[in-house]
Amino acid sequence: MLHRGSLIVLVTITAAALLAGCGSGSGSTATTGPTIFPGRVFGLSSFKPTGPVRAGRPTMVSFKIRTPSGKPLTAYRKCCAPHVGVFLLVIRSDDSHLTFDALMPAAKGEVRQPVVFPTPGRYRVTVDAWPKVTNPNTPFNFQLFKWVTVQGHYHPQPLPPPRSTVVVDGYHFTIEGHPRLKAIEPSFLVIHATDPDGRKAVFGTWRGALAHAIFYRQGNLAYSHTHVCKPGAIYCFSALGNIHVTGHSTAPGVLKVGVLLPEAGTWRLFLLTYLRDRVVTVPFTLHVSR
Amino acid sequence: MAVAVVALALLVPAAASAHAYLIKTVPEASVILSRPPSSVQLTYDEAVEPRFAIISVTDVDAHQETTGPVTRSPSDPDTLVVPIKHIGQGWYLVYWRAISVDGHPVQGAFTFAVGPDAGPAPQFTVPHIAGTATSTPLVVAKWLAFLTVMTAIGLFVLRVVIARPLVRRVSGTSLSRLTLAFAVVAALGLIAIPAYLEEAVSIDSLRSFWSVTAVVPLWRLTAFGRGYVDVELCFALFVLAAAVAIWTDRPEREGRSVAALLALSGAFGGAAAVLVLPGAVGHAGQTAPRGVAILLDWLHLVSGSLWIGGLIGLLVVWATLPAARRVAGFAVCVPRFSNVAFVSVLILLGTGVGASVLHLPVLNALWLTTYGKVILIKAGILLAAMLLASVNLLKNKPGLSRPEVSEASARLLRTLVSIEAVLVAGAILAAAVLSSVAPPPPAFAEEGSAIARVGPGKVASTVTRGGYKLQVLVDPNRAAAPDSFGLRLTRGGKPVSGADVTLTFAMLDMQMPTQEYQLAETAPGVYTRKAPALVMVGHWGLSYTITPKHGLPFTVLVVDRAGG
Repeated sequence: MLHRGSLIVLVTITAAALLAGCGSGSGSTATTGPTIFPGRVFGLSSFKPTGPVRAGRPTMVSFKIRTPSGKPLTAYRKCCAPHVGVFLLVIRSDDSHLTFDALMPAAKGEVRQPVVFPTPGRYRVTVDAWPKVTNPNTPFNFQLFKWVTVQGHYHPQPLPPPRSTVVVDGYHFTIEGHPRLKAIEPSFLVIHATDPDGRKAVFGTWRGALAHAIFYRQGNLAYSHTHVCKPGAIYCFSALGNIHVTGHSTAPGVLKVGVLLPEAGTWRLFLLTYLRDRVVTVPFTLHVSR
Repeated sequence: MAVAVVALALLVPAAASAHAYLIKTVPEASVILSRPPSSVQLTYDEAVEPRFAIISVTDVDAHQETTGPVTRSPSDPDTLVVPIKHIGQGWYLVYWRAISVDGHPVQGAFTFAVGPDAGPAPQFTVPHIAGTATSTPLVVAKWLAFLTVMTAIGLFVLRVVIARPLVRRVSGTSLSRLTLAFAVVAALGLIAIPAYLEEAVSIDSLRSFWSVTAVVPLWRLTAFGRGYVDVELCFALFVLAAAVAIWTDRPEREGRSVAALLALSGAFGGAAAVLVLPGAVGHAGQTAPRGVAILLDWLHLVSGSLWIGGLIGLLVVWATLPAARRVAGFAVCVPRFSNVAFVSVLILLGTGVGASVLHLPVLNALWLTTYGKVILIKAGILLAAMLLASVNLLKNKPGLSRPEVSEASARLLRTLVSIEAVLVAGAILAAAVLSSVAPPPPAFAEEGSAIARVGPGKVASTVTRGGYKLQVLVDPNRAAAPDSFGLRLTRGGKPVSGADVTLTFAMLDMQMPTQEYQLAETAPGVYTRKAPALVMVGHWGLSYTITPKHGLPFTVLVVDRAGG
């Protein structure tokens, strides 16, 4: 016959073994997966206009950038032109019209800028931000997007076919050769510019660069922005992930424009240069293969 | 047969030297893709089991994007694949969890984006599954398995060797109660081993302990699981051989029959095999020189078994003998047990010290690491038990042969043996914890050269070296999260631009491959990189190798404690 003490030991150990086993689950046979919470993101807050606007009149566009913590972004880069503050770009959905402003938000992080939407249709507002890097988690640069509808009947314009020479206000801009552009791969367009008198154009520095090359893809309006700077400029590069490209100008009348586009398709290049104290916007159409 | 099982187990190559380690991901961590991927692929440094693995792919709103189970890549056994939906532009969080060949879970997370306009990277809350090798139920289950198996083996040795003359020397006594005690403990051991294995595998596979039909088929998927199935098999064979040995034994005769001797040698072989397997599939099997480490572990378990089983056997003898024969019974058993116990304790001490030397890279790991601290606790408990044992050996054992004090000596001895048994059981609990905690890796020896200790939590610490001021930045400094690492480098108050900065990560709490990342200059003198490098909670050696544009290269080591 089992001794009483042995019985107690037996019961205790068996109970302990079962209790140890009980600790691991509720009895369900299903696998217990992890709990995933939504991510916290940068976003636009207090964006105006909130509804359709009228064509041909200045409309106040205003917003703040909301950080993942929920607070407005107030610290922006000021040191390193052209990578400073906020770029505000407005592109018509058919790639036919672009406005570009470089702004420094107010102390509380608000950006206000009057914008003229010239014709009816849909416009995509791009907010290209350069926050001050206060910790390693601060993104170096990021973009946020918003759509604005302009009242009236929308007449989309077809994109002009690719041409190597474009003439604007008497200035001739010619792409050298026939460059083959590929998505993700950094490359360059060598563009020769002459003034209305046929002399090599002299570029002035505007918004930190000799030229801003702003790219919008036909259809989804994917965005890219590179700069052409004077030789030796440090903060002129543009990045796509870990790939960098930097445009430069080493001779009068010549721009070596960096191209770094995220996907294949037809792209519109708006080359913004500063010539004789005014901004000249030169549009090109480009084909980009995979 | 049990010896053959063990020989086969030992012939199998040693398990990977450490935890499974993620060495490649598709898509790459933090990459922005121009087209959405159709699957997520994770490549480890060993072939982890897909049935234990979790790969979760979620968008910024936490919607799950996977469309099927995790499978092994047909082209690479080390790669796991999970199919995903056709996902749109934006950022995605990949959380993964896998079970190493040694049975320990590892987990991590990284992000990737689908462009072209993915937007800024969100801040994801990285999930964490807490089930680990040191969870309380698992350690208790392991302790019960160790305790019952070791006690059964020790009780058997007491029954068939040490206490055997009792029947001849003290009239009216029998060993049936010792046999019964052995049977009860052996039966518990046969339950405790699979219960422990079931608990370990259910934790690893994130299932309930009671999902037996789902969990049992997974038992043999890891080297750890196969090892403990072999332990159960060997223990069952030992119990069988021990039952035959006891059945054929005639303790009233001094000599033993050939059949009894054969059965006895079979039982001893089985016991030896049972006690070699935990070391072979545990830390000893992963420590060089492997043969020496396993031998030390085996001797440690053998001596521990003789001690705990013998102590409990003595208590059974005391409890089951008639009151008038207890002193006489102890007078027969205790001196014989004392001789065995004395040698066992010496072996226990020697093998324990030897194993510690093998497992600890430096002496201060004893008080700086969890592994070392558990060794100290275990040693403390054993020293207390040894103190009691020495009182029994030097005072009570001689007292049993002196009629005037024999009764008092026997009673004191019984009390001290009870306490000693509890202490040794406590030491076995410490051993269960110890075998669940990873020993510190060789990289731990470099910790002494660290210029600073930082973490847990966000880090912004400043150190100086050779005229340079370095501000080390880690955010959020959480394991299994895509942490950001930065270094603000100044000299004479001015930022040092154009330097080449490399950051190397070494896990200091366990053996793991090192990782190396190049930091990019994102502002004058500020070098940063986002990387899912801190894959586990614990101490990490962050080694910054800095080559200034105009100056000699130098390296600084910072020890960071990553939180969960």
